Amino acid sequence: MITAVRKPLKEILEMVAPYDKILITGCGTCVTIDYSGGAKEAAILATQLRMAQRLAGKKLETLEQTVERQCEWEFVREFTDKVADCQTIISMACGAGVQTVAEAFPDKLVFPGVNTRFIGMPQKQGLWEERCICCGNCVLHLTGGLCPFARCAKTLLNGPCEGSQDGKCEVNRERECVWQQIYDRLKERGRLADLQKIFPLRDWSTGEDGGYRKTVREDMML
Amino acid sequence: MKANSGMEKLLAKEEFVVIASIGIPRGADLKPLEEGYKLLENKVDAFYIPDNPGANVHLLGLAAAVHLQKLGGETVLELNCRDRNRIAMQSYILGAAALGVTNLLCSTGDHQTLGNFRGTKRVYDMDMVQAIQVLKGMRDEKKFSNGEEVPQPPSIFIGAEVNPFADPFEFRATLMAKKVEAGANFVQTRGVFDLERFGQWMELLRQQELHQKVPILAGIIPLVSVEQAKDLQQAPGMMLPDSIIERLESSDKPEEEGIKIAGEIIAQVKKIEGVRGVVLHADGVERLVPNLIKQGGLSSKA
Repeated sequence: MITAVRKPLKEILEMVAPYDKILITGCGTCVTIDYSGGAKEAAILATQLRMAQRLAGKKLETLEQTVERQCEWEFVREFTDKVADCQTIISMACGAGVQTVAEAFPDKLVFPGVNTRFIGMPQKQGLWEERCICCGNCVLHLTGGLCPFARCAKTLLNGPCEGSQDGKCEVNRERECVWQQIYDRLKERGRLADLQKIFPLRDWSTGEDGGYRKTVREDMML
Repeated sequence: MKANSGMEKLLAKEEFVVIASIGIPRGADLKPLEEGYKLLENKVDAFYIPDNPGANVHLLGLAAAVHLQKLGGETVLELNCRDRNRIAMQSYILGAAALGVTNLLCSTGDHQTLGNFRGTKRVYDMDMVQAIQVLKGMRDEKKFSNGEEVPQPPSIFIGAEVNPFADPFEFRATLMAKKVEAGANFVQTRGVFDLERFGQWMELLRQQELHQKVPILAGIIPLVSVEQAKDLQQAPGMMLPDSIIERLESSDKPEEEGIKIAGEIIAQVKKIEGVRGVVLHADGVERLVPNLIKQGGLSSKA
């Protein structure tokens, strides 16, 4: 899932200060699951904004609407009526959702209500961890199912750096060193010999380093 | 001989090599470097030049190396994977070789968030093993990393950073073996304080006969204060026993005690089979090196 965190109220208040009728759009998929931008969080933000503006002696009307996914045209179009009825929009979706809404309604300014963080998973209640950097060239079968790009601060592919100690990362002693984890897992499986092999230079162009990415599936095109 | 390197020749002659790191200026001025050089001139075999250490901006290592070589010193120049992609890395290698810098030490590099430029973008296009492999490919196969021909291959004696004090401990020998397989001609360790652990690591290497494949140079850091020792104890990848801090604390002259400790460590590592030299990390306190050489029972190079 894509994980996000709500932007601080102060930042959102500054962004939308000139407006007195705002549509707040929630997204029903990833950001609902991670409690950052679903229907509930859209309602909380609406209440916070109204309270803050009332305390500041300003008038503010909020509309709210949440759709299944903000990253697809057919869902985003459901906002049409409410968009027509507001001055501006705060999208609580991930960056993909915000851009879909902005493109669908080009005459309205769309503000991001969350900061999109990463593709990851809820490790336990209240804790989300990064798992994938969308490199476009997966190596998980070689590294015991643990991603050295998402989880090693230096994206190393030939083993740990010189700062890994006691299973912890050089960057943050609260974080696990994924190379310790990879080592432990391959040891358990009797596959340590896999780590003796030198992995050659990577082609990073399949990831974000290759520029704006598009996936074309001609077999799917109408 | 792999390269026209004085250090390679000394190591081939079975000499115990003494390298000293030199403080790299943080301004656009070579004078501090010259001052460090004067303190170390004719006392060591080569100068180690760190590459933006601690992820902080310093004067370009290559510029420092070229200047030191003009003054008459041999250099070992660090080349980290943090700051350069494969284009910059290979261009730097060509530039270094063309300017007569013959010893490059490949390292991963301290992570950028540990320095004073936290918000910078990371590179790590290649990891250290890959950087060594690319360097060897340029030198021996006359090929850039993309297979294109290098018109004039760089003559470089290739070094690799290794850390006996990092984990997973048992994996460290395999990791060094990968660096050697990739093309490392010598390795340089992090600062040694924990001799027990260092001995265990050397034992691991001997089991794989790695000590016979490449010379191992041990890092030595002369401690000058209790604070420095405590900071180093907390630094990633370091191991510094409490007993050393206690010795500094109970001394009236911690700097002298620090030199004494470093001298004892040098004497100990020198006895270990496979250790072929030391790298004295006295950046900014180069004045301590002559005494350190004496305390460690190292021969003066003059």
